[in-house]
Amino acid sequence: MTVHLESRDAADLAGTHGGGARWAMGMVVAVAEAFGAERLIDIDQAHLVGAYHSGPANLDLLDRLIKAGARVRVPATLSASSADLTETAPACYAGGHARGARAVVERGLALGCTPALTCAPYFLGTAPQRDQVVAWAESNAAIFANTVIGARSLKTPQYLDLACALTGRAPLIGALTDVGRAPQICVDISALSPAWFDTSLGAELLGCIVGKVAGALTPFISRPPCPLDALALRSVCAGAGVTGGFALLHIEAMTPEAGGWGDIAGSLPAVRLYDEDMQTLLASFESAPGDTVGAVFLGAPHFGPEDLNRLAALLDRPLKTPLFVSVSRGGTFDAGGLNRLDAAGVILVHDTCTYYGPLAEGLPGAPVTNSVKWAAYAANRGFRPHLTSLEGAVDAAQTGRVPLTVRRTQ
Amino acid sequence: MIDDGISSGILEISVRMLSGAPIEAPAVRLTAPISPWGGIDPDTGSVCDVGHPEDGAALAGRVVFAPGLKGSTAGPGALLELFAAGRGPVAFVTPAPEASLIAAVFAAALLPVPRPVLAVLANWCDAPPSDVTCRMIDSDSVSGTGD
Repeated sequence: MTVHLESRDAADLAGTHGGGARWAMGMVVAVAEAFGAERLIDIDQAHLVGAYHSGPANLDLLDRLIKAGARVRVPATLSASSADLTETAPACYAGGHARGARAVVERGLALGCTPALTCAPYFLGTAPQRDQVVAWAESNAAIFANTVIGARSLKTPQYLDLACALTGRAPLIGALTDVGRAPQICVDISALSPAWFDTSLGAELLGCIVGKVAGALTPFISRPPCPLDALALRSVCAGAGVTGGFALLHIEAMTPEAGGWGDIAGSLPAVRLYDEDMQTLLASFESAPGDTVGAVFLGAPHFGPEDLNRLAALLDRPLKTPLFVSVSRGGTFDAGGLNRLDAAGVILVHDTCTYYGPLAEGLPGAPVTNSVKWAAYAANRGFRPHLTSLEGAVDAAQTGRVPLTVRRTQ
Repeated sequence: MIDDGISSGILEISVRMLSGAPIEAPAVRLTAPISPWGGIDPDTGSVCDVGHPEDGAALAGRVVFAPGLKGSTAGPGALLELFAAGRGPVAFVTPAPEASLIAAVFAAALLPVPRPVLAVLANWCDAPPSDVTCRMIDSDSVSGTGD
């Protein structure tokens, strides 16, 4: 064994603290060994992706861990569920799947987790500070924690996130190490028209493309044509999480650690992005202008307070199609804003993401979304989503017709 | 030079074992990373990823040569159900270790569920083409004999 274990780690591995801790430490050590880690590191908190109902094997696994006395040792929040478990849930969530989803959450509670049920834990008061070490799962959240907050997390896969929470430890690899945060590929976006970033669409597309071109390499996005605000950075992280394998990215002059890597960025292999790259990706998620809209889906990842404010400001006409917005039930939303959404007929969906589950099934027209993540996963389910900006999505709900997306060229 | 492995229809491939023992099974070679959650159909065990070069490729019962994993961190949960349903690959071979695959195998190990072999093939050029039957050789057990 090449990983140095402290006595408490060895005790876990020996089963001194029960079968749950033994299983968890076994996994943490196996990952550490596979990646050549020298040691493990303490984590301050975990965010667990396994709050959705994947099937009976997962329930069986959680039952066995509970029976073995497993209990999280650090604060652990549950990510999004696969159903809206609130009393106000749309009726389609009332079936057997919701029972399974509820069963998963109940087991998470038995393991000591907090049922945040959101894929956007960076909007919660419990979000980490810069340099804090955490074990966050959920791709968009882990990348956001590293990229925007400057905390340290692996893009922790399901079950390893739980194993880290059950032991309070993580393998000291990847983005948890100094060297693992270094950029490995430069993505020059200076040729992109700044007009892409007038709306949320540009950041969504950019993230998705950067994930594709960088793959598993940590990208350094250089020479942005205009500033990106916090929500745009969120969109970049979410898009990148769908197509990329990396746990963090850097954006010149935008993200907290980018300045420290500027010197080496110039010597990295470089890729330039052009407006055509953005247009090609957008064209893969487009319906024809004027097509009938089935419903509009916002909030992938879950909308935060500022997202809802921006949405509320656009609701100046009645809606002709359903407009669903996914949010966390624990979010600190302005009551006036929520009332305005409610009065306009917006349907809030809690706990879950709508790209899986029943809500997008059987629509009388195209599903429209502002999220490349929603579009990509819905397309894999066989749907033909239309991707547009937040403004375009609201317009689609107000007119019932797919809007014309303005081409961006210099 | 005639390669006896190929002429007999079986390609021997030297890998670093991460989990389980070497096996022999038909290969499927992917040319782009996959997302086990959302990118593998849980009902069929085949790739379902619009735009993926091997969209639709059957993975069940195969040695899957994947150049990497991407996307959702929920991959291990999807894989566990795939294994439990008997629709999983018999092995994953990747150019570098993948924490998602180790996590999925550890989860399966706690259950009466078949779990795939995991191995690393550092020299990715050696990955066999799809449909060739490959026989995995543990490189640690033949160390010193060279390639």
